[in-house]
Amino acid sequence: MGTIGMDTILKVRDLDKSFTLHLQGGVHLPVLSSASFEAAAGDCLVLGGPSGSGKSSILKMIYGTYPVERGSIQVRHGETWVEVVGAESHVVRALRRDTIGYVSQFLRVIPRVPCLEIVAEPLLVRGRSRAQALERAAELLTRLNLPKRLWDLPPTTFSGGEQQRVNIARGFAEPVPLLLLDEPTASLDADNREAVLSLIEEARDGGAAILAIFHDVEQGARLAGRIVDVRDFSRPASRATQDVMEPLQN
Amino acid sequence: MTARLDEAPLLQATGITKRYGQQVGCLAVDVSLWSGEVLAIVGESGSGKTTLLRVLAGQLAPEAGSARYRQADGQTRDIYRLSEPQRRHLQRSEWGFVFQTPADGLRLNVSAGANVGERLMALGARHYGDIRGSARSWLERLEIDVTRIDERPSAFSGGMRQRLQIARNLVTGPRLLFMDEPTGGLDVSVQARLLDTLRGLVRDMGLSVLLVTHDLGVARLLADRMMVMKEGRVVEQGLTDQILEDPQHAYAQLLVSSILQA
Amino acid sequence: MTEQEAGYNFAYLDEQTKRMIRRTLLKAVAIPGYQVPFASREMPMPFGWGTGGVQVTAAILGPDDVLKVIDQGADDTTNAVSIRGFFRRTAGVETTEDTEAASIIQTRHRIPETPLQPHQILVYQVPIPEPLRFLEPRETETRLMHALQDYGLMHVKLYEDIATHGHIATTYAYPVKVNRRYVTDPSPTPKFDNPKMNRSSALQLFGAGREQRIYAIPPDTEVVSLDFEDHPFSIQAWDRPCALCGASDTFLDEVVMDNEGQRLFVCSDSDHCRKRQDALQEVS
Repeated sequence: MGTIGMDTILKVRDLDKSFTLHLQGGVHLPVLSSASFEAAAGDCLVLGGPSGSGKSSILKMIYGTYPVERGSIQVRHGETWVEVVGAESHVVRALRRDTIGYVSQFLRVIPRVPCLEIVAEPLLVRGRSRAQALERAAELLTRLNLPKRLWDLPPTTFSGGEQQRVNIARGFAEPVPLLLLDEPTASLDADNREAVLSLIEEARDGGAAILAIFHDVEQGARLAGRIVDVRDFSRPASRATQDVMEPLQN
Repeated sequence: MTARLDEAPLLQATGITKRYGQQVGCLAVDVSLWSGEVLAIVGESGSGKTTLLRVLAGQLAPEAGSARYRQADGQTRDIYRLSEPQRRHLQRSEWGFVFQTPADGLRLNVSAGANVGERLMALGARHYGDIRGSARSWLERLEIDVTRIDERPSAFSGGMRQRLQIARNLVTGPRLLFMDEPTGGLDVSVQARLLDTLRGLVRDMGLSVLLVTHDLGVARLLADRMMVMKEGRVVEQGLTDQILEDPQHAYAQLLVSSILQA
Repeated sequence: MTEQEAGYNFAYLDEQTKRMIRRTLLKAVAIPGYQVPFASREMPMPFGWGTGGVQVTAAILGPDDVLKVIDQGADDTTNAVSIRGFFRRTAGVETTEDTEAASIIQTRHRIPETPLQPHQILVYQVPIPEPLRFLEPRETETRLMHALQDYGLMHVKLYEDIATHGHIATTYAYPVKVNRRYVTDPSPTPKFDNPKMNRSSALQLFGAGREQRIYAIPPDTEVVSLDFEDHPFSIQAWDRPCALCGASDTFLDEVVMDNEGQRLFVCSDSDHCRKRQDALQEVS
């Protein structure tokens, strides 16, 4: 399990997760059982395992998107440890604002908002001035090779790869102690993948703990301090479960 | 803008019950709202969400329950124990209420500038130039053509009227905004623009918002947290992304699965 | 003192009605500027002809009172003459045109130029007592506004005036705040007269017969005309003095002399003007 160092940021213990699909006659789908691991500042953990094994679910449980059936997720928020499982919404919001960052697999498009604004938003929420926020947003978009002519456009009409880069820029706008990345390089070509990986490395070297899912095992290997194989925590699931889970996780 | 971990809620209501004869409005509902948070109360017609909103906004008295609100001066008061003048003062200075039909929240026979300035005048503002200046800047902020400041809202489109209603509410810098389907009845593109504007204002002003809507898309765009109501009761509540991605309750799952994907 | 005509109770109203009105008046005096409902009686003149003022006067009149009645500042207009005659016949009281000699002055649409004394009572005839009526037609709402001191709408009206005309366009029935509490309609007196209401030595009573309201401003009460800091209240001014007495500080009426457009400006307060003319005559 590893020693609990001064810079441990995340402690996941005995996490259980399942889904109950009321609309499908109350089908009960177990996904994870007794998932446990830790992460410290500067760690880069890659969650490995096939689709449907629960990797995204782990990230979402840490972020507070998925409710947890049983278990504990503790995050170091400033000087205190906060239990995410069962936490009040305003607590989770505080964690998301200051401690945990999350880059989902897909960009949630807000209609009509230009992508520069989308990237700047987390900075504005944190109280940065508009000028600072836009400057930082521009910096990131440049780094991710997003052409300037696209900056004032809403990403609705962008390609998958362009949307993904906007998503990543937003996720890396403000440094956070714990960064959760779900397939950050999925729709990207080699150059852009490189840009993203170097952003991740920088964040890691800056002291962030990174928890990431990579579609391509090799990319994961380049960054990884450790690989956490989620199959260790999977409920004995049939292929049928995996078939149901895939569309749910999109 | 986000609350400290141990901060008390801005508004804490417990056991709110309101019936209309045999009809159930809302039953034993608990609501907490933290500073800087947008809470969407969602549900279908007849779920009781509008009744709940109106009770929490002090427009209707509940049969049972209390609602404690932390005023700007730090004092916490039970809003149903306040006298009518005290409640009205609160509604005028620290709160705002945006009606679904803008005409319900505007004076149609008075100019746009006067509509926006009225609350200031009600609170004692006595400098015409300043009042007009405030009105102008709020019209601008809500992207209403400032040259129309002396026109009556009867000449405005639905979207503009709604923006005017919002400006009228925000001019006194309220801390808590109640909104009843603020974009209902507006054309889709008009809705989208208004939601943009609202997002920005909520963030820039650190507003706390209690929003009623039947449109989960609106909730997704604006709300940090959602409460799902059915037949007068809350069946599930949680962060917006949680409700939308992993709803637990059967009815919440039904509601979420009914959203038409673009 | 003329003889009271037989067959009438003193001042026409029965004693029970007078008592009801006096109770109303006491309440009105206790809450300056607040409109007190009262059971307005059928009077021998139609509504709209000063029945409110007449009922107030009738309730307070005593045999030793000296009554003056003016209409638009003049003692000799039809209504003033009729009402004066009415009280002469039903109460037998002494009447006068001399402001200083009167103990009760009933007025329509003007306040006498001569400052009033502590023993005098000014009774105003009021058509619409509610200053907010034209903005808010619902009685339920206006009552609530008064109760909650919710007067934003009143300033909205003034704001609209300035936005539309560049200045506050109201020139008569100009709203005032009485005793820092109630917004009140001074009756359709010109705004020129508003300052006279402030800290008047006399008791001011207001009767609206058709609307069934009575209100009052006790002596020495603060009465402030509503305005904006940057658009302060101001009274009317003329570019010439009264053609008859030379006064330049009174409210002037415009009198059309002929068909060629000849006009004359004379004091609307006929008693005040005549006294000034007499004084000038004596000098010369």
